[in-house]
Amino acid sequence: MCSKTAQIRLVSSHPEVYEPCDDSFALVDALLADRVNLLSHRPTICMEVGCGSGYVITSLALMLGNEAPGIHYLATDINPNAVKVTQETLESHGVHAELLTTDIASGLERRLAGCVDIMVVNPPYVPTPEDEVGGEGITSAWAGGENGRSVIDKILAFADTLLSEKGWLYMVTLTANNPSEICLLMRAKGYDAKIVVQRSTEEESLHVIKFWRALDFQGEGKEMVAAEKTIPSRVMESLLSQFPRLPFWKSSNSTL
Amino acid sequence: MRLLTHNMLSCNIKGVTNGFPLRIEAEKVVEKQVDFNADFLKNMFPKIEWKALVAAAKSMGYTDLPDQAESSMIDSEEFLKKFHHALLQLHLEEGALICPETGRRFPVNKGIPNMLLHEDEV
Repeated sequence: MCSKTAQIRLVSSHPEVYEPCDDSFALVDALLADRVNLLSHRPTICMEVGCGSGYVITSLALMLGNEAPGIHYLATDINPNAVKVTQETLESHGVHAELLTTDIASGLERRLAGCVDIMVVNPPYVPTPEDEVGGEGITSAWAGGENGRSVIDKILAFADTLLSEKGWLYMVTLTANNPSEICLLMRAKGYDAKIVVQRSTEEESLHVIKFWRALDFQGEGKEMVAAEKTIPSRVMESLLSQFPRLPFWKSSNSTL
Repeated sequence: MRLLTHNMLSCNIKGVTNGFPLRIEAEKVVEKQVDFNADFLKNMFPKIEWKALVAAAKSMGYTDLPDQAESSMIDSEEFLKKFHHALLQLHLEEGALICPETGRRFPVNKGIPNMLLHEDEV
C-alpha cells in the first residue's frame, strides 16, 4: 500500500540533524490537506529550504509523485549532515530530489528566479541570541535570532525571487515570530496569505501559513492605484482576525 | 547532481558577476533511468541555458546534444529524448564545479554540491 507521507521508521537520522517533530508534522499535514489543490496546480519545480531529516521533502514527493509525474524536487540545507540524511531518507522511500548544501538558496537565485512553483519551509524560528544563528551544526535547525526572525526574513526575500507567478509558499511560524507582521510584509510585496494549520500548546502556537501572489497587486514601478497606497482596512481586519491579538497590536491598531 | 540542477547554479561569491555556468570537473558520472515526460521537458526548455547544458553534458561524456536548439525542435521526439537524457539521466556523483571567474572549486560528493561559502566570500 502506497504511503502518502514519509514513514518515521524509514527516516534516517544523525546526532547533528533535527528529527521530525510537531512542526514537521504540521507542515506535512498542511500539504496533505492541500494535496488536491497541489495536484491540480500542476507544479513543475518544488523546493524545500532546510530539509533536515528529509521528512518533509520525501513526504511531498510521495504525496504528489504517482499522480503527477514530471515534477522536479529540490532541497537545501546549510548543515551538510542534514543533506546527507535527507538523501538517505529519500532513497529509503524510493523517491528522488536534487540536493544542495547551501545557505537557504545561495547559488540558485540568479538562474532559478521565478521558477519555483511550490516552496516549503520549516525554518529555524526559535528566538535566540543573534550569534547562534547561521552555524552549520544542529543549532541551525532552530536558532532564529531576534524574535526568531533572522533566517525567516532572509528566506522570505529568497522566496520572493524564486517563486513563479503561480508560486505557493508554505511556511511554519510561531506566534513569537509575529506572523501578522510577516503577512503584512508579504502583502506589501504582493502576496496574499492564509493560515492553513494551527497547533497550540499552553505556551505557544505553531502556524503554517500559505502565501501566494495576489492577482490584484499593482507592484513597484507601476502606477499605484490609490487604494493600494495604504493597506485597505478590510485586508487588515481579515489578516489580524486570523492571529491571536498580542498586546502591542492593540495600541498600533488605533493609528490605522 | 543532474544537469538540470547544474544549469540553475551560479557562483555565489560576493562580487562575482560572471559566475555562470560553473565548469564541471567530473570524477564519477552515473546514469540513472528517469521516466520520460514530454510535458516536463517542454516546460523546462525555455528556462535552460542551452550552451551551458551542451558543455556540461560533454564534460560528463555525452556528446549527442545539438550545439544549438530552438523551440521548434521540442516537437521532435528524437530531440526530446536526447534532451531528457542530458538533463535528467546524467548524474555527477563525484567531482567539482568551478567558478569561471574566480576558479573557486565547489566540491560534489555523493551527487551533492556544496555551495557553502567561507567567511571572506560572503
